[in-house]
Amino acid sequence: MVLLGEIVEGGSLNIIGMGQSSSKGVLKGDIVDFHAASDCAHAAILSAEDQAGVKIDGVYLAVSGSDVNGFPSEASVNVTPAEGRVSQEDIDQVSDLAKGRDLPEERVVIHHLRRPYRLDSRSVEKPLNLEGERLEASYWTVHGNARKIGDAIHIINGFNLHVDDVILSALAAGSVVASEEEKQRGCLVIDIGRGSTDYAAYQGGRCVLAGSFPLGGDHISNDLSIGLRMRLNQAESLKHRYGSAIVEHKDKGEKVWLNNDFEIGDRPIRLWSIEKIIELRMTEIFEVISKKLGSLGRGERLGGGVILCGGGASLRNCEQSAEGVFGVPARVGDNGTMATGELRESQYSVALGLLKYGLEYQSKLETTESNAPGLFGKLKGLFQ
Amino acid sequence: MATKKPTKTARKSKSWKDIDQDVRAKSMSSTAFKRMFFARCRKSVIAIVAIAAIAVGAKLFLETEDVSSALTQAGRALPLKMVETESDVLDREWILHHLDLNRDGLNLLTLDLGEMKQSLESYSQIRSAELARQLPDTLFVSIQEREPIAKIIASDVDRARITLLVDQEGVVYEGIGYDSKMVRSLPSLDGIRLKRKDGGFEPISGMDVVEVLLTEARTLAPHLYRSWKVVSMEAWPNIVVKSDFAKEAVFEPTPGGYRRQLAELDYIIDYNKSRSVNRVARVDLTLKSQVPVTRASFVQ
Repeated sequence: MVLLGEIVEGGSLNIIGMGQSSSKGVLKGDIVDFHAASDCAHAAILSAEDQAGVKIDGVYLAVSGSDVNGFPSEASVNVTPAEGRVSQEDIDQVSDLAKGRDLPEERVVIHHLRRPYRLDSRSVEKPLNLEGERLEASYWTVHGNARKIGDAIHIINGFNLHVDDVILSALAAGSVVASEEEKQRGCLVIDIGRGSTDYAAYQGGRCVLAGSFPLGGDHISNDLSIGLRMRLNQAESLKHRYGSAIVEHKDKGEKVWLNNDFEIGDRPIRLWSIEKIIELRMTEIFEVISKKLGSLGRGERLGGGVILCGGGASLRNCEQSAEGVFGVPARVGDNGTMATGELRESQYSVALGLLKYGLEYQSKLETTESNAPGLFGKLKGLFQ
Repeated sequence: MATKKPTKTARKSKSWKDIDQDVRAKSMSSTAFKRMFFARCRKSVIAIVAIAAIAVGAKLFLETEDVSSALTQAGRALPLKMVETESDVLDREWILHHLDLNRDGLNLLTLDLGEMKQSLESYSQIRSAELARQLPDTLFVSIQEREPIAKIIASDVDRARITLLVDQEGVVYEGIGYDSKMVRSLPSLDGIRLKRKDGGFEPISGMDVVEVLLTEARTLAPHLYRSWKVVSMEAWPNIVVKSDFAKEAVFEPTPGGYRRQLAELDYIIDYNKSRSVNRVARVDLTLKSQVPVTRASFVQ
C-alpha cells in the first residue's frame, strides 16, 4: 500500500493519493521473490501517483518481519568532576557509548529508542546542568538483517526513488493510534499483519521497546486449513466470515457451511472448532509479545492499555483476547486524528504513521535548513 | 550494565543508512526505467531550451548596438526615388508640392509620415490620407477626397469673387483641380451664413438633408435637376430650389424623402408646359393634399 501526502502551507498534511496492490513475493514479512515484490510495489506507487497527479520525491519505508529484533544497550559515565554538573559533552559521550554496541556484520540498526537517563539512579528526562556524579543512558536498539532491509530498499530504488527513512511498522502505527496521554501512562501498540506482528511499548511518553516476530493473520488461515482440512483460500474466507478471537459459540453442535454455495464439495464445519483454533493462535501471538515485553508487559505498567491495529485487528473479539492475556483494557486503533472515511480503519495506521513521521521529519529539516525552500514540499509513505 | 571509562570516541554501529541506494538501470523495472528515461529527457529538453534562450538573449543584447547602427546606416543608404500617388481630383504635382517632395536627397526612412498625413488632412478638400514606405525607395501616398454637392459664391478679403464647394458633411473648401464644367453644373447654395474658422470655414449644418434632396433629384428626375440653379436654406428646414421652370419650389423634409414632392413638381411643370406656361413663380410642395402654384404673371 502506498499513501501519498503533501505538506501544505502551515505545516499540515493533505493525503492526495493512495495506491494498493496485491502482496506477492513476500512471505512472513520477508521478500522471497524480488521481481514479484517489485512489480506489486511499483504498481501501487504508480497508482498513487496517477491518483494524485504528482511524482513522488522520496519514500518513507515501513519494515517488519521475522528478522527485525531489538535489544537493550546501556552505558554510564562519570560526570566531569571539575564542574559537578552534567554537561552536553557528558550526555553525548554516554549516548555514543550506549549506541556503540557491536552488531554482527549482517545486521544494521533501524532505530535507537532512547529511554530516560538515570543520574545517580534517579530517572531524569533532561540531565543537562543537573548535579550528579554518575550518568547512565539506556537505548532500545531495533536492528534488522542488512540484506533483507537492503532488498526492500532496492525495490523502491528500482523505481528510481530514494528511501528517506526506514521505520518499524509498529512505531509508525503507534504515532497515529496512541494518544499522548496513553503513551505517557504506558501503552502497547500491536500491529498484526499477514505474516508478522510488530509491537511497540510506550512509557513516559516515549517508545522504549519495539520488535517484530513472524506470526500473523496468515498463520491463523494456515491453522484452519490444516486443522479443519480445507484449502487455504477456503480457510481465509471462513476466517473473514466467522472468525472470532475468542470462543463465542459454546454449543459444539452449531455448524456453518464451508463454501455456502450449496455446490458439491460444500460441507458443514463446527463453528466452535473455527473459533477455538483462532483463539489459540491469537492467544499465542499475544503471549509471545507479553513474554518479549517482560516486566513492561505487566498490567500496572500499561495504564494506557493495549491498542490493536493492522489487518489482524479486524478479527472479531480481538480486543477481548488481548485483554485476557495482558489484563488491561484493549481497543482497536482508530486513525480519526489524521484521516476520515475509509482511511480511519486500523489497516491504514502504518501508512498514516509514516506520513506523520515524514511530516515531523520535514518540519525539523525546514527548521534547520530554512535556506532550502520548496525542496521538501512533499512527503510520501510506503509500507509493505 | 556496562560501565566504561569516558573516551573521546565510541564505535558506531552500522545503520540502514549505510545501505547503498545507487540505482543501476539493470536493477530497475521497465516501468521505472521508462519513467527515469522520460524524466531525464524532460530535464534535458528544459535545460537545452533554457541554454538556447539565454544564448539567444545574450546574442541579441550584444548585437543591439550593432543592429541599431546598421539600421541607421541602411537608412542613409535608402534615398527616396519614387512617389506613387492615388487620388481623385488632386493631381500628383499638387501632392508633391504640398508635401515638399520635389527635392533631391530625401531619405525614405527619415520621412515623418505622421506629419505628412496631418499636413494633407489639414486641407479641407482631403477627407483622409494614407502614406506608406515601400522599400527600398518608394513612398506611397493615397488620398481620399470630398465630393462636392453644391457651390457657394462668396467674396474673399479682396472682395474678389470666389467659388467655394460644399460636401454632404457641410465642409466648405476651395476646390482645386475640379473640372470647371462640373463646378458650373452644381447648384449654388444660398441662404446660409459662412463663418471663418482656423483659416477655413465652419461646416454648414443640414447639408446631409440637402444632399438627400439633390441625390434623389439627380437620380429620379435628372431633367429637373439640370435646371436647378440655386438651393436656398433661407426657409430652413424647408428647402427652396430656384430653377428654370419655377422661380421658387419649396420642399419640405419628410421621413420618406422627397420622391413624392419631386413627382408633384414634375407633374406641375409638365401640366404648365402643356398650357404653354414655361415658368411659374412659386410652387409650394409642403402641403400634403394641395400644391399652391403661383404663376409669374400674378407676381408683382
